[in-house]
Amino acid sequence: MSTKRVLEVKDLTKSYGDQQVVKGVSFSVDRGEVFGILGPNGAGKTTTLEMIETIREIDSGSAILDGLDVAAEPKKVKERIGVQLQSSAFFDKLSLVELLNMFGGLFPKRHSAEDLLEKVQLTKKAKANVKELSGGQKQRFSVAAALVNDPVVLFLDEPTTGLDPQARRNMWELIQQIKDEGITIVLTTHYMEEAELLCDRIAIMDESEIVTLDTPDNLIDALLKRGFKKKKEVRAADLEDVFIDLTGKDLRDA
Amino acid sequence: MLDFKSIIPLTIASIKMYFRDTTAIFFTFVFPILFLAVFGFIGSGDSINLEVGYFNEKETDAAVAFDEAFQSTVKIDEEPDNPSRIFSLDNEVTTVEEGREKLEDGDLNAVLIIPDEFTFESGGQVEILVDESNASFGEVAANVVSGIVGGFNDQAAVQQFGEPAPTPFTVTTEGVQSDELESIDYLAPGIIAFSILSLGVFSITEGFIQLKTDGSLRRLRVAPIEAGTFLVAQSLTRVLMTMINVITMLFMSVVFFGMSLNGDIFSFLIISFLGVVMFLGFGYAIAGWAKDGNQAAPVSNIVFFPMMFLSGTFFPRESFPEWLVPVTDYIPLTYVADGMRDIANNGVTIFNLGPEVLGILVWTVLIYGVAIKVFRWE
Repeated sequence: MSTKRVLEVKDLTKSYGDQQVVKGVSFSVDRGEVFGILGPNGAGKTTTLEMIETIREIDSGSAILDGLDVAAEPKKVKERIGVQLQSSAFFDKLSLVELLNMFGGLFPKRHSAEDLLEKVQLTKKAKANVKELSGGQKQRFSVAAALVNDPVVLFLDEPTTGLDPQARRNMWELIQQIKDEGITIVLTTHYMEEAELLCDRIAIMDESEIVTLDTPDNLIDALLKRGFKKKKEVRAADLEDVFIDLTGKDLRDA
Repeated sequence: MLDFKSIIPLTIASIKMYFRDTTAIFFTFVFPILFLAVFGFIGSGDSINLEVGYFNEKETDAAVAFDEAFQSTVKIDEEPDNPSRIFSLDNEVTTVEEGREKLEDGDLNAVLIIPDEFTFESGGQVEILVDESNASFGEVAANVVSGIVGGFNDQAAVQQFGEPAPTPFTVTTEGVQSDELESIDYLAPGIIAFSILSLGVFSITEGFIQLKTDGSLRRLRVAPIEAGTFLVAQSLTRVLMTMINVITMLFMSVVFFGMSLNGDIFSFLIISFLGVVMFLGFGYAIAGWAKDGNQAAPVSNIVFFPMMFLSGTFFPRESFPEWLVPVTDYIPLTYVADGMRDIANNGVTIFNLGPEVLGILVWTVLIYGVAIKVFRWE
């Protein structure tokens, strides 16, 4: 294993016309860490990720991934990363196995389609098309596709948006499992509960900038130290707990 | 830079997708064949019976004997719908010149001339004028007459010398260019060229834009491949499909509709290949530039329909206004259709088609230049 630091982002900026959508974003991610980027819609999370993922040009600043300059060696970087895009579709008319074989064929090193499908609990759907999958299955498949090249860093852009509570919990378990295998994960999310549960450290972006970056615990402590109090008394359970208690954790579409 | 290792999985995937796409299959295989069938049957209505002009002064014994043999062989007295009747004589033509004119207008299929010097003593040369654009008719006429003359030679010689002699009677065939419209020999190459155009342009503008708008193309961008590699894989599939399509249509034209393929099939396939590569360029230029199908559709129609009508696919360009004809010389589809027609009708090879091949290559370079310039991933 090489250095501890697997991703180093410095002063990343991106503009469209006059509008700066990413303003000097800097952060670093350690090997094996789950790093979360949070922020309201339009904060620049996705653009930041897409620059690191080599699919959007970097205006200025730099991103070094596993020792490689993203701007200078996009092809080598692509071989080391797994990307789950927020808005992407898969070719219809191809089955899950065929899709994974195709994607796998584009990389020098790859996992077998069968292993990947087993990992995301889609073995039974191997011959199905993506169109026939439920929202949660689709999302799991897209994680499988991102893992096809045995990546060093996995990027997940809002992996649980639009999923029901069961599917969301299932996705959390999957992410945890991938983390346990030593793969570094960078994810974006709108769910604080998810960030708190999964992420070792989080960066909060607003108006194209990182406004704070720390572990979830430290961020909460810092807020409490400033004398913050919740308006409503926190109870030991919330409505989601009720929902899960009544409907169970089992996936509905498995 | 192309990554050849990646082309293989992408091409395999793309071929699978193609075969599972019923619309694509319809337009690749079913539609062109239906098209060919419709035109083929329209054109072949009176194909068995050839209209000929026949000039025989019957001034020598040999000419009279030939006349008898000819009349009985081609069974001119039979009913018109009797399949054994091959020729119909056009009795309205009185001079050879008139016959030639009618042939040029496409009113006759062949003109048969027995010369004044046609005797058992010195032999003679039967002359046949055939319609060049309708080579199969001409061939039928020539074969029938050669058969008669062959038999007639033996018969005449035996009569004269008691044994078969070296053939004193011969047949010469002269091709005459006509404006025959409803001929499969004219239409089939045009329809094949047209189907290459539609496969090239529409399979890209439809299929590719679908990938672009639904985000599949975005997903591929995170893989370590260049745009060019992906495009080559997409093109390979479509070139392959187009070649299958061309072979199918060529086979149907020749076997079922009596098109004559006088040139070699390789020349025909080579010009088809050059054609599809060029038309894919048009597809990529449009699909690469357009954001979605709504943007692409009008542009592809603007490219498609004028090209279809102006290139002489269905109507000879000679029937266009005079000022328009030179313009249509430079239309991409014209080069392909004319080249195919030249190979099929006149038996030339790809090496004789310098101007057509050059025209296609120039367009190819131009259009790919444009395509690269305007291409957008999303």
